[in-house]
Amino acid sequence: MYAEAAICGIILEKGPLSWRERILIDQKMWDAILSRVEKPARYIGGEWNQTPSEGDLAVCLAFPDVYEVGMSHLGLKILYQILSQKPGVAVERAFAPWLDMERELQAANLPLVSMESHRPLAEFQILGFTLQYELSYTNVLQMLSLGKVPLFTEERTEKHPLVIAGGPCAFNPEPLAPFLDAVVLGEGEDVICEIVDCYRKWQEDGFSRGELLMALAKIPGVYVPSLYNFTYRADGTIEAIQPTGGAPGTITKRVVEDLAGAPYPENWLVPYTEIVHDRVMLEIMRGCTRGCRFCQAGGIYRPLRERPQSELLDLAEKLVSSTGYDEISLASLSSSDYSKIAELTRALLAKYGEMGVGVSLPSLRTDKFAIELAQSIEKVRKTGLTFAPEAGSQRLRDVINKGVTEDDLLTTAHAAFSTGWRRLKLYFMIGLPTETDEDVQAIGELARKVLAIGREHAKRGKGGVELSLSVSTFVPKPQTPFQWEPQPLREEIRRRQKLLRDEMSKTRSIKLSLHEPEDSFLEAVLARGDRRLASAILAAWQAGCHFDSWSEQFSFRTWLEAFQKTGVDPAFYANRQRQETEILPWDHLKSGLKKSFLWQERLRAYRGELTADCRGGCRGCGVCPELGVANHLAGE
Amino acid sequence: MVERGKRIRFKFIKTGELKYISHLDLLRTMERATRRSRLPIRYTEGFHPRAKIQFASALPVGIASLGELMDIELTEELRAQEAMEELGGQLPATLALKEARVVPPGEGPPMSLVRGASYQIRVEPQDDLAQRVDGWLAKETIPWTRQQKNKVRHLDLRGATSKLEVLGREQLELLLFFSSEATNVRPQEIIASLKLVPLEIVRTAIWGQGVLMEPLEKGIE
Repeated sequence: MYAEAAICGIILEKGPLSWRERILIDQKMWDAILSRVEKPARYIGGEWNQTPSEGDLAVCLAFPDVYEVGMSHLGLKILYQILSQKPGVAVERAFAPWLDMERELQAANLPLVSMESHRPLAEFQILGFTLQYELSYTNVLQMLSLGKVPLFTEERTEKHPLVIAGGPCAFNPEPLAPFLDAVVLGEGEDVICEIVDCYRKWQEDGFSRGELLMALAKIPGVYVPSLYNFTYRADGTIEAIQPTGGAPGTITKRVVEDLAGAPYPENWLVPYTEIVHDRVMLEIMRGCTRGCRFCQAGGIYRPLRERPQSELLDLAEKLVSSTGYDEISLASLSSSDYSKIAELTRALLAKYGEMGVGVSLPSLRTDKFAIELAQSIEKVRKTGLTFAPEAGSQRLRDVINKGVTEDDLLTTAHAAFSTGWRRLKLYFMIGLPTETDEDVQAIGELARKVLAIGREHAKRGKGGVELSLSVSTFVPKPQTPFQWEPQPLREEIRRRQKLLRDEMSKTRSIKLSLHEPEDSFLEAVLARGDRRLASAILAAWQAGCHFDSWSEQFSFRTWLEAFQKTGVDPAFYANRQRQETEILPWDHLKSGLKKSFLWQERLRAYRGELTADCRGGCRGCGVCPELGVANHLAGE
Repeated sequence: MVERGKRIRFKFIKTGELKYISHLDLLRTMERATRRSRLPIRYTEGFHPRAKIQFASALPVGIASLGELMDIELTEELRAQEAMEELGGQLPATLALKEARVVPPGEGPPMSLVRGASYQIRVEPQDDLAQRVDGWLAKETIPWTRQQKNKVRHLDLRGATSKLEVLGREQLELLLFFSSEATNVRPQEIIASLKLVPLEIVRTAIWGQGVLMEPLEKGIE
């Protein structure tokens, strides 16, 4: 269609040009491509507060999903800021191009490039992926391939980028093991700089790639999958995990000891196009003391560290005035648990309310305390409220150690409706260990009680109430007390979903949304998979699978074909009960949670025994002694 | 000319890759820039206060501009130049402010004053470009249907065209009539009906009877 595109194509094929030369030539072609794709603003970069970082060591932080998703991720912003301040380092970003842009790049034979300088991914020294969810794994392969980076660690030479990964899925990165050179366990603030320094030293010394990997394996928290041998028993379970070449037997996650004074992205990038979390995110704390047994984040981010209130107010001031955002989100795993949450919220509202800047709490616990908070926020803005009881019956909530009673939820609902909220959303899970049909039906009963409270208030006020239920399928995760549990078979999940749908058909005014069991099944396979799954991931990707977390792109059939072709039984990973003594694929990767503690928690779950919040006393999970850290509360 | 005022009209450009951001993106960007600036911005009442910003005309995605117009309301009187310096410091070079004037009390919202817009268009070179355009202009009406999500709009491209001039083999100058009552024709639609391939479209000015607008009598036939 565009004459320039054809001409540039010819020039490109002539011979090797540096990426800087290519940018100049490609500019017109790039312009032509941008005018054809659906959302060009995803690809333009140049956000407010972006300052180019210069250096001979180029690091690309890659998020294996589209711009709007990746730019909403706090971890990427934190590492971006840290690296941009490190002398000699040029840090840039890359996101997965959407399907229309992929086609354009492939048609023009252009590689995937970074946002900042349009440098092809293959020309970075270090390429760091974040693994936030299992269904993004095929996108890692897609980005490597589009970036012309060899997929396998063994195919890469000194000329290729070092491909590293981090994020929650790093606590079992085994399914991606052959594709990753190194994996970072835990928080990246300090270790990312150690990796960069190690790389630079290796470069100066002119050693081999193998020596680089060995040197990286000596950095605490860095796991080099290729240095470990897995052997298997006849029944498919793991016989042993053997380190080679002097690599450590276990790798323990890294943590920032105290959030007070920890680096925070003050040069917050403000995108031109709307992103998923389009607001200032203020990380008020990291970690969680509650100990919900299904929750991976709650365990792997321990210990609890609260950022001091005074520091948060300073950060809020800097971020609001440098971004111009109209919303501050108090981010954490359970924001109403922050010791000084009421004071903090009050102070922020008093200061920014008049400017039209609102405060939001993305993760409120379902308890009485949320009432006060909800009321204070409501003065500025009245959006919907979301609570997550997770299970319908008290019995099952005790099994998962949710620590929320029906009374808590109803009191909370009462407070929400009486202070003017009209929209409430409740999150539940189906398929939790020990779940019975009565537990499933209890979801409906609980929802009806909430609706009744809402209607009572609506009668007094004006307008109706909206109640919606979002019901997902439980996915057992590594490093949790449920890491040994089977996910119920898909047919069984469907049956329970139908049971709930029938239950809810009595009350059509409650909106019910159910997740597809197939997505959750694949998530369960990948979450607890070992490195034998890599061939299936490769086959699925080769057959066209990527953007698996986008329901319109997800092709379960292609995945099943890939499992069949590669001789992998997905049910072995998703639906099998593991034994206490079984060696799990992540046994050498330490989050600090002791395996014996997790097993004890599993037994307590089956007995319906609660384990109290560890703010009230140590429950013996192992994190603090293992890592030499402690919970840090803002009030102390 | 009014020295100080509570409503300032800015002329700004939208160039470079920022031509790819939507009208809604532009509004958000300007809102954030005003909040970053220390201007005494007037906000709407209610639960979700918004800065009082009004644009003269929405620019389709992919079209650059050298003369967009935007009004910003303030809570206290300021000199236009002062406001321009303050806000300009919060905008990227590709959204630079070019001029600012106080809008006299009584002048309507900018959208209601717009009567047209002019464009410079570069297309893939065509030897018969002049003939094509002459033939096109000779027609009385050129019906056009725009398919939008759920509705079909019927437009007359010829009726909306005030001026279409050929400058060489690949350059066109276009002046389109706008009206606040009817659907406005887009320059891409004129190009498409001429069966030309656009390479670059730049809006050069907004025409109308308000402050900072190009006066109508100068451009309309």
